[in-house]
Amino acid sequence: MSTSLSTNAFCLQDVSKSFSHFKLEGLNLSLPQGQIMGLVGPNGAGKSTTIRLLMGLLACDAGSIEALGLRVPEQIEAAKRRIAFVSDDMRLFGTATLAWHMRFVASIYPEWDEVYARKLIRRFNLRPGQTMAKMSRGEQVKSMLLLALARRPALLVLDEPTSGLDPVARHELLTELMEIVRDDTRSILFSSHNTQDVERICDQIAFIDRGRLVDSRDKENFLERWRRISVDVPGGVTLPRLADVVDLSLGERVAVLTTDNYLPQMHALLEQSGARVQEVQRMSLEEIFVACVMRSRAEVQS
Amino acid sequence: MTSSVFWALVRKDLYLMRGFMIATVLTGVLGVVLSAFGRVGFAVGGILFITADVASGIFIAMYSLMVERKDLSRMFALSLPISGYRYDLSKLLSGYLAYGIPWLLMTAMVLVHFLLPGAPHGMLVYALLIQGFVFALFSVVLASLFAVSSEAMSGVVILVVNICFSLFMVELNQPTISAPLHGPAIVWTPFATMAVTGDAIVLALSFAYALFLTSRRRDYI
Amino acid sequence: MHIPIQVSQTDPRPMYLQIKEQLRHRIAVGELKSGDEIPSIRALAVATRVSVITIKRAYLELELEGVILTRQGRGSFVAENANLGAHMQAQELDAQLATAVHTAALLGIRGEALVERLREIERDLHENKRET
Repeated sequence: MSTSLSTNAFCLQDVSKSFSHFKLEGLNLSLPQGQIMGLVGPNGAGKSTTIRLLMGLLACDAGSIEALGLRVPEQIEAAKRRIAFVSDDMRLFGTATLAWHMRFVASIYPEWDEVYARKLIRRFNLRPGQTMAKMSRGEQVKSMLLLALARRPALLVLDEPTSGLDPVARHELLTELMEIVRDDTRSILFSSHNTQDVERICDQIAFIDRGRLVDSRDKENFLERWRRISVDVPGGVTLPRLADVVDLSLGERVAVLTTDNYLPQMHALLEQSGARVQEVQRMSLEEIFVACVMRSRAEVQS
Repeated sequence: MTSSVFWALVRKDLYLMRGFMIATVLTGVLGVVLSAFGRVGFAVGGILFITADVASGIFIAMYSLMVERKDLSRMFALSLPISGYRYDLSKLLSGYLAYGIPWLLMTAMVLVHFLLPGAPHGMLVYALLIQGFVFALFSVVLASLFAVSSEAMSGVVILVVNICFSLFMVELNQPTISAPLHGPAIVWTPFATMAVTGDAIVLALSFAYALFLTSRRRDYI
Repeated sequence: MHIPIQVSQTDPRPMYLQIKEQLRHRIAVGELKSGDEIPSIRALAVATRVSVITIKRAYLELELEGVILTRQGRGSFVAENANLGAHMQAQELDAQLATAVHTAALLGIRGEALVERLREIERDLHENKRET
């Protein structure tokens, strides 16, 4: 039974794709509309493959894919009318100017907002009369983002959007991304190495590693469940075996536990054994991500 | 709705290749003009004309397919509301148009040139045979570049094209075949029939092959 | 309705908490009064450049704590409670003192020693204020 209602921005069910050197398996990923999802993973994990499958650039070997309620790739043309896609390995036509590209895109998408496009030219500091070949990498990326944003897509898909962007441009981009979800029918999927940005603006986060979805849940859930607990372990005390301890670092007198399901009861359990809880630290998304991936790799190996 | 994206892409391709197209026609014009100036002029003009014919074919096929692939502007084109299949078709069509439009102009030019009073009308057939051959050759180049994705292979294709064309010219210029074609009257020889039929078959087969390849494709990156 | 709320990612407190505390603070000092409308969840998300889900969490908790009210289709408002300011300030203070007491306990500082230390700090802060 398809879980995708018309209120899902996209839905991938049991999607698999094999290449000679890499396999993406059993991917289940969906995003309710009006939300931002961050796709995080090491290089070669399958983020770009996932995005390309969603955009119909690759055909899946198994599973089903829907974007804005439309089947991919059967209805991909209709879907792409309301989806904008920018990838860090994408380029515009080198011999044409930004102005030409704007006219080209405007002629295709009725939702093109010329006023907004002009505003973005100023914000991103671009010159419409320049040809793409003469622009720096950063300016090319900003141009592609402008073309994507100004057509007011219902779903914006970005593959490493901030690579090549200076800090000011990144700031501007994040502002524009948030503007998109002011409208609760519009959604964003973006993959990024920049876990700080992901941690800030994403509602949902998915971790991918080596072709598998390692974890996917809402951001606050991630941030609330993961903790690092520093414990004083006096001599002769053995720490109890707690459930949900992802990592345990034992020194002579101090231990650090990493847990993915922090509960206040853990304090009592630890202190009962004679240990003393020194500090409970929250973890940044980056730390959570690394811990998740390490655990996933250990699990796969065993 | 989607047909508008298809035609927008075809127009875009023609726009981006306008330089090649114009250069081809101008070189052809130059060739025709030069051919009026004695034997040397005729030879040089002829070479220019034929070079324009063949070179433009290679350039256009290469540009429209390879550059966009290497350039990764293909990804941008594929992000537009068009299916991968129709995108491939637009490339095929714009390739034929970018070559075909100058080819038509050049063919018309050369026909008019040889229809002028005082010109050897027999050369009309000669020119037609060359034009027919190069168009069929272009079709093969386009189809093979559709199939092939590496730059090394495309180098092989260029080599093969040049060899084929040279062989054809050798054959065409054999005295028994070319003699009637240099005369003052229009003579349609059996060789001509064979050549034109062959061209038509090659054209149809290569076009069909390109269509077949595009229909089978599932991954566009 | 411009409410200058800044969320810092280098602040050790989680983002939702920063938002809660800044809103509470605005109410406590009277910048926002009972019945005043506060930005919608999405509007605040855009203004602070923080995810909608974080703002939602902050608003949800503030609502459970009786600080704000959300009326379906009409927006969010500061709750009607005349003593909210003083009440919340006292709550905030208690929370901070509790943290200090806990930390002190870990270091073995309790009772009178704790009170003395508090007085010392108060004196230092006072002196620093006079110097600047």
